[in-house]
Amino acid sequence: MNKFLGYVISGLANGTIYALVALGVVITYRVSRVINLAQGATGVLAAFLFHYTLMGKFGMPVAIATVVAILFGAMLGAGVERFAVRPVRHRGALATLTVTTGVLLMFSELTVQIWGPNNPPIASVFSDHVVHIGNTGVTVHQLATAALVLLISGGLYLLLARTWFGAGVTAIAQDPGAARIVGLPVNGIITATWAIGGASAALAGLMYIHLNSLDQISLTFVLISSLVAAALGGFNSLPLAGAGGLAVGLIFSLSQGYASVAGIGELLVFVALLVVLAVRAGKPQLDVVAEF
Amino acid sequence: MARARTPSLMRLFSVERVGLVVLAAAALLWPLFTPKVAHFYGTLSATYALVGLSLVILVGWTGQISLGHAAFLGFGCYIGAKLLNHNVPLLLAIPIIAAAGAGISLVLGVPSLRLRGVYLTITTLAFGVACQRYFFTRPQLRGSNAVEVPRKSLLGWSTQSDRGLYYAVLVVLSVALLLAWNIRRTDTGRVLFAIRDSEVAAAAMGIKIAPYKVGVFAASAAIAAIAGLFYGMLFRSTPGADQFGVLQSLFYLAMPVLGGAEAILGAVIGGSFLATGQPLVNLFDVRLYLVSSVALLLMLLSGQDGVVGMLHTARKTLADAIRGEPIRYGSFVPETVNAHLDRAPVVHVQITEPLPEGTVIRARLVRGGAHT
Amino acid sequence: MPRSRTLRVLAATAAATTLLSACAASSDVRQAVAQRHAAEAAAPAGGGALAAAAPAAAQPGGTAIDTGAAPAAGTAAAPAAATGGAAPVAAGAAPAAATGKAGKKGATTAAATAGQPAAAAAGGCTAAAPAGGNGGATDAGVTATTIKIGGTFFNGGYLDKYGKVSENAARAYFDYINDNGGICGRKIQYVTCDTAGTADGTTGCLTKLANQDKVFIMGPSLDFNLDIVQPTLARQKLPWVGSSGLYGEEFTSPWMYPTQLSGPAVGALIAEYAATKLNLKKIGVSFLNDVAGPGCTQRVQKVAAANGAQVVKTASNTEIETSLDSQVATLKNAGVDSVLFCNDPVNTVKFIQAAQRVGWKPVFVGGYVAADDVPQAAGSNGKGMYGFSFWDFYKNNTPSVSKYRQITEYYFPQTFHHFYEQACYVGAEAIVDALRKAGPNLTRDDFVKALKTFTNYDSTLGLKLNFADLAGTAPSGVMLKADDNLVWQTATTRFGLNKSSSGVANGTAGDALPAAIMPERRSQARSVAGRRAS
Repeated sequence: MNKFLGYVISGLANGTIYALVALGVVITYRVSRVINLAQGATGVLAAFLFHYTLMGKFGMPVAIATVVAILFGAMLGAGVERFAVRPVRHRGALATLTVTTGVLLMFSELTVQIWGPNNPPIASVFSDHVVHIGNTGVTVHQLATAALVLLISGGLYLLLARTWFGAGVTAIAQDPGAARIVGLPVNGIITATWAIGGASAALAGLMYIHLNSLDQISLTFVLISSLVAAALGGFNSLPLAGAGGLAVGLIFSLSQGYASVAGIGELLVFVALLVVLAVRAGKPQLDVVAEF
Repeated sequence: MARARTPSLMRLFSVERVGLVVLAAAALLWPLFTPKVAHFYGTLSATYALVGLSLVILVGWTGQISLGHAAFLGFGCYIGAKLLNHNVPLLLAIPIIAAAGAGISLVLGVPSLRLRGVYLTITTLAFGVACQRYFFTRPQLRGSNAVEVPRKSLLGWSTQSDRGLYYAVLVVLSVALLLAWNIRRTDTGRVLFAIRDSEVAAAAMGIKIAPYKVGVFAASAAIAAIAGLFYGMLFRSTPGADQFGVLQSLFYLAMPVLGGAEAILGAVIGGSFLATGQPLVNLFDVRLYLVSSVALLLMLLSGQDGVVGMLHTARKTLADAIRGEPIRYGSFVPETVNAHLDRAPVVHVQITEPLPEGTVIRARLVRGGAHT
Repeated sequence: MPRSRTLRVLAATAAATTLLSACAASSDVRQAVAQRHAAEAAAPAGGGALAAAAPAAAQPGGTAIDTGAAPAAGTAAAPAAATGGAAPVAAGAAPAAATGKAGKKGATTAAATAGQPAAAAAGGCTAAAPAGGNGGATDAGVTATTIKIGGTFFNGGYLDKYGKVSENAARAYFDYINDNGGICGRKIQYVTCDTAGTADGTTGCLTKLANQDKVFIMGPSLDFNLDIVQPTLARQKLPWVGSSGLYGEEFTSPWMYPTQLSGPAVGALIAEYAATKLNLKKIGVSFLNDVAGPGCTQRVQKVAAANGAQVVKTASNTEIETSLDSQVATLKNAGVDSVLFCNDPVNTVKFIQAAQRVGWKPVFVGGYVAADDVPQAAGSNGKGMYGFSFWDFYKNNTPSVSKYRQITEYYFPQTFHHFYEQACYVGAEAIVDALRKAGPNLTRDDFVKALKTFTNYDSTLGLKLNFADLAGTAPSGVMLKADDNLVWQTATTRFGLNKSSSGVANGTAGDALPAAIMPERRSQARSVAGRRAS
């Protein structure tokens, strides 16, 4: 039982990061129908800027540097949308997907060119004090991250469900043409959602690289888990995507813990996705309709 | 498209035909005049052209995106190594591997292709990761030890030298290109394009979409698996699981983008880019990732459909300059597409921009304009 | 739609500008990482003993240094100071001779003269033949004035940060030899090729180096996918000396001479140390499920058992992992008192970080961690961790280690030291010594023959390598321990395997590898190599 608890806790701790990235993926996908593969690289770029430039060069306090880095992530997200994705959006999924691949390579390479191929120890606003639970434990940083993710998903939910902005997002998700006709600033809203995606990527980068010193490409593998998590949740609903993230974290942790076979977690996640898709295929499709 | 079947001299020496002959001759002859290292990269280019073709028919024709194609290469490479080591002739190994690739593709194609949207993309992504981390690390498939891949002859044609292997791959590639080209011109091809442009519209026309999508995905996987077989033969050994990982799949998608996603020739050009990228960047002492990101972004932002698209644009511009057609304002769709061309066709003109006062609208009928 | 077109052009221009500046930045950084020594040589050399050596030695056609006559004053300054006043005899041989370890290296010149009458005429390169008088172009990649040596490195991708620096170490040593007159009047040209860590890159680079650059041999390299190059090497009949030994295949190939301990050897040493010196009984192993990891792990299990300890649980990971939390949970739940790492430096760090998060601190013993950045990146949980190094620790002040540091830092001041880099440096040393021994009439066969006589080769960095059977090299190493400032300190003197460990470790590196891999070709190739050598 103690073992089980240990696996669950470590799975959930990682799952919150998957969930955070998945939220960013889903919110950008909903309005622009683009999978942003550069999400992970954005997070790394922001985290390296945070470490080397904001804290290292300018000597900012951690809290301020964190906020600035997240704002920088938002700018990157918006910039990617405005200058890379929008010019090719009318050309379909291949163009948008590969343009974000190009940005992914560009960002990770920029990171290396500017700061070297390192994996720096990223500071955190939160303490690394270990809170013991049974025979395992989590750090305050991890608990705070989980709380932040909860807060953010709650905030995003309110933003989408209760505000003018959210109504706009829903309208665009359903019919961008009609949304334009009724006078919604479609491009502005799309850019804003990408900014949200970029900010969440930056936050995920800061929180995650503090835990595991990662090089420039590894966070993209977190993104891959998050994409699968989002697909488990149907790629449209924020709460389901979050739940998908936690589920992927749990699958990885439990399967690795009990089976201890290399790659078993990835296999089970793939199988889970196939099962979910097979179940969904039998139901009427909810591809366009927004879900909350 | 209706083609006037008048055997004129112009037809015989059309740009496409001459270009094709020149290309074929070049593909056949260049290895005779080049050093050995070029043969290696030539074989790699031809192998990647196969991968490019598999992506062109999947992505360019049906609009489905796979982020796990490298895994099919991996299966082809590892299964191929086993077959060849058990003395299965190469000619027999190719269809077996194609069948294996197609079979594996069904496992993920059937559940995910029945859904619209991003599901195939994400399923193939998860599949790619599962292969890289789980399937390929099983000792039964690859494990952590390389296995030698013998270079078997293809119909008595020795593949021991890189040049010999190049010609063998070229034969397979040519067959695949011809098949693809023919399918593209049949009803099946038209159905695929209809599905790509609008699944809803295609469904409304009574087309059963799922079998086509699953079928094309299987064909695409089969071609990729065959490419994997030759990939292993080129190295004479089986590369590790990470060589067939997700990052590779991302790079592969650059092929149809750089070469041109719609044209079959785009696969060949994209494949050459991918194969020769590394030695080219080494010449200039820059890093591969940087250059590939630059190339991808510039190509996409230029608004061209790869190199083939650029060539088309250039040809059009040149033709305009010679024939004096300054501006195209809209599309001109003849109503009687399949009727005799000796009767004046009815043309609906759709103007997409406000025209300046006094504009003269001129229409030119492009005979057999299959591409434009 | 003019507006969108303008925007598109603008966007494309903006992208192009960014990219161009990125390219510019790229070259800047490359320069920063790999300071060209030319720039440095132009600057007034502060402690520049080596700088003074270069012109002095180069001017009289390199004769002064290699004859064993009193070297130019400048040359002596650096190594001599370290060795306590003894003037170095020849560029490569100085420390070995000075420290009294008359291993193969010290005996190099004598053996060459005695054993090879053909070479003796020209003095087996004890006396540097004047350019042109050394037989000229005696084999592929050899001219009267140059010897071309290839190398492949990954820049970009996984373990990115270790690549360029390793290349620099080998280049520094070759430059040092060249600046001191070269070998038999020939200068070494070290041609390297970036593979980006892909199979295409490695095989392509190898094909290019063999066919286009026509290298004499492949030299020091740090690269992936060296498990698949064996058939290509056999076909090109190309020896590869100083590869980084990441793969078991490198140790069993008749063509490859990696200058590093094999995975099983490292596993045996860390397991023995953990079981006998640290008295650990319940061992957990964290290993990379690729390259040297599995072989290392199997040997840890056997050696631990032979020394009264037990491997309770193993946890594997792949190369790019985002976190090792579940591996930590697995080992922690198994109740192990220590974790041994048959893992690469990057994943070792991730494991220790993940252990910290669950408040777990067993005894950590790293197998591949002898790099400064490892304990620092591991953070506070890394305090007191052990790290194995088969080379003498790069911060030691023994004469030969100082010399290594001096040479590498002189040519590449921004470099940082680690065991991969040391392996490339040792590879360069071995090549130079074998070239000297092979004499002026240089051929691949003679080179390999000369190399294979180094059965107890003093790498100058502690390890004695057996080039006749690298898998059979008697493994030894030192243990490092991270202090409270997360800096490695040497914890032990060099130690080898005890009786009970070597009992199970007697096999070659290959016992972790299925014997079935290319058995036919290997025996074939080996017999070919044997015939050529005899």
